[in-house]
Amino acid sequence: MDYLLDVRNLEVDFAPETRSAPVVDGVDLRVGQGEVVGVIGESGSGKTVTCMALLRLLPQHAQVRADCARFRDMELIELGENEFDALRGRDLAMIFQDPVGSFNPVKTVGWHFRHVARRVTSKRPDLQGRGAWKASAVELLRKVGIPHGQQIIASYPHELSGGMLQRALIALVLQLRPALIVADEPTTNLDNIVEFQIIELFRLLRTETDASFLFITHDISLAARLCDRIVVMYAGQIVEDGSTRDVLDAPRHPYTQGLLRTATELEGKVDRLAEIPGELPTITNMPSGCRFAPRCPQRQAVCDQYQPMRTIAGERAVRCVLADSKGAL
Amino acid sequence: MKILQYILLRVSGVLLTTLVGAAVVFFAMQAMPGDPALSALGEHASPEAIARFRAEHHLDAPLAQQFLHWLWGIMSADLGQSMTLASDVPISHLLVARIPNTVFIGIYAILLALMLAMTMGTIAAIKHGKAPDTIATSFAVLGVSMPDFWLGFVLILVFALTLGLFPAYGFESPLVSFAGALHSGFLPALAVAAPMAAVFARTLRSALLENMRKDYVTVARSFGFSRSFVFWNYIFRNSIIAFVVIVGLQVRYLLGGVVVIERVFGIPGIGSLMVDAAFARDYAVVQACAIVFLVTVLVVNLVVDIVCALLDPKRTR
Repeated sequence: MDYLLDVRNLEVDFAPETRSAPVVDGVDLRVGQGEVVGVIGESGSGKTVTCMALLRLLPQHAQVRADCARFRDMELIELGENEFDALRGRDLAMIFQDPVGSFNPVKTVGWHFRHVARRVTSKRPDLQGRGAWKASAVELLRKVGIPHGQQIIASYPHELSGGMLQRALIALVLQLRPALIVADEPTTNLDNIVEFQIIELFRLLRTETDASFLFITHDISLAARLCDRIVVMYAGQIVEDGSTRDVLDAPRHPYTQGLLRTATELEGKVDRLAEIPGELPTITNMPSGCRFAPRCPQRQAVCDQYQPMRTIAGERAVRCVLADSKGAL
Repeated sequence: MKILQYILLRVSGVLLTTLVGAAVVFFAMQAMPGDPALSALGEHASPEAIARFRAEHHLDAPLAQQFLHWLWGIMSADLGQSMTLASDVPISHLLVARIPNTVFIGIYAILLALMLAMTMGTIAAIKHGKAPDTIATSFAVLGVSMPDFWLGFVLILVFALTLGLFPAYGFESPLVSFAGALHSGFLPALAVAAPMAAVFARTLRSALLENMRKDYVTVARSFGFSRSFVFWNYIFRNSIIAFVVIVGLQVRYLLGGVVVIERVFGIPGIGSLMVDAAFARDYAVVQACAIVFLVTVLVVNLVVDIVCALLDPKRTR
């Protein structure tokens, strides 16, 4: 299969000289045309850093390397600064987690729409002409559940609520109509109804424009609703990768199993949460073997050694020794 | 509409502060030692002459009455007469002749300081941690630690006496020749500007560095906005608010610097007038100069506040 985005062995290191573990380690990500790939994991697992690295948005001292990072027929790693600038926004865009901090505080929301529209006018006849951006912005705002777009456009960021800004930010990125949208927990600030609306909008976009998504979330039920494939991240590594159904119905990694148990119990309103004991290791005391081993209920002696991803079948892969012995899970 | 309301409120505040400030100036001058009549007429003046002088200058009236008389005079642009410095010349004439020089040097110095600071601060922030940053930061430390009068002497020594590029003393009024004023005013303006530029540059540098780390910069880059667009519209645009506030605060030091530097370079301005008047115990003139400085500081602060309000939507909306 031809992928829109194909990243192999991505590594991000913020302080290589301190000999601490890389923040993102050996991450493989593949997103097909029109595919929605969910990245799930708890906060601190490296989801956001992975995405920022893909868009080359990490601070300069971050060291990013990968065996390959192909987008369409381009090798992202080899692109010059200007070529990458041209790619950002138009083909690769990101919806950030913190909407309040995402806007320029001294400019109106409309200013953002106007300048974002200018990025893509050449390929979009509907944005050409004076004030065309405004009609498009109001329409997009309506789609994300803001009926009075005119008023929002004239407002400054500090005059709007977090939920309002979150939706405006989504509309802003949608105005760019990028081929791949990296959405970093885009609905955390929204109530359930609006969240549902946004998810439906994403689905619609996918069928209408064949847009692909890399959807970062810690909400498994949300991922289940939207994603074709799910990768599970833990402590900077991908621990499980597969179709949504496979991963959610038959999780193979003990961490995924724990995560799902937590989620189902929340849904079933069980009083006590069967949370996974222990906590996420920090980069300074990362286990040299399986990073989940200290918390794993099925830990073995071999878990102290480095564990590679194991391909089970096709696109299904797990980073766990238990995957080797069939039937053990 | 809110901005107009804001401006009106601030203007009335300035008027009130001027009134209070005028009272402070007047009564502080009264507390100064020395008798103006004696210094005007000499130690051996006859009691009759002294009494006549006092009556002429309303010095025999009660203090409160003197104050009201003086205040009323200010409001009708009559600052009274000079007593000793230039006998019986209206103070307003003295001021009118000198204000253009001081204003010229002041604005010249501010513009020089802004130009220096914008260049140094921006380069230092962009090249953060590299050689240009170190050089600019060292210059800034140097600038802050050098007293302006000392810098004035050094500039005279180097650029006037050694290189002969600028005059060492004297000043051509901008009303006579603008080019001449630019030339003869360069060294004094630079001497006043350098310490200010140092403070401005440091403020701008840290504001720029702070804004470079903001999330909205990353987000702007994710939209594909060019580096220069992001720099000017996000980083610089947001840093300039803090910068303008500091510029406004520094104007007080600018006036102090101008007073000293006018003496060093022999510029007939308000600052040198005030110093001369103080030595001549011509307290009416000192008072008038103080009022001019007071009003200048207040008006500049008002302008800075309005500019800030226009730059920062959070203040007005």
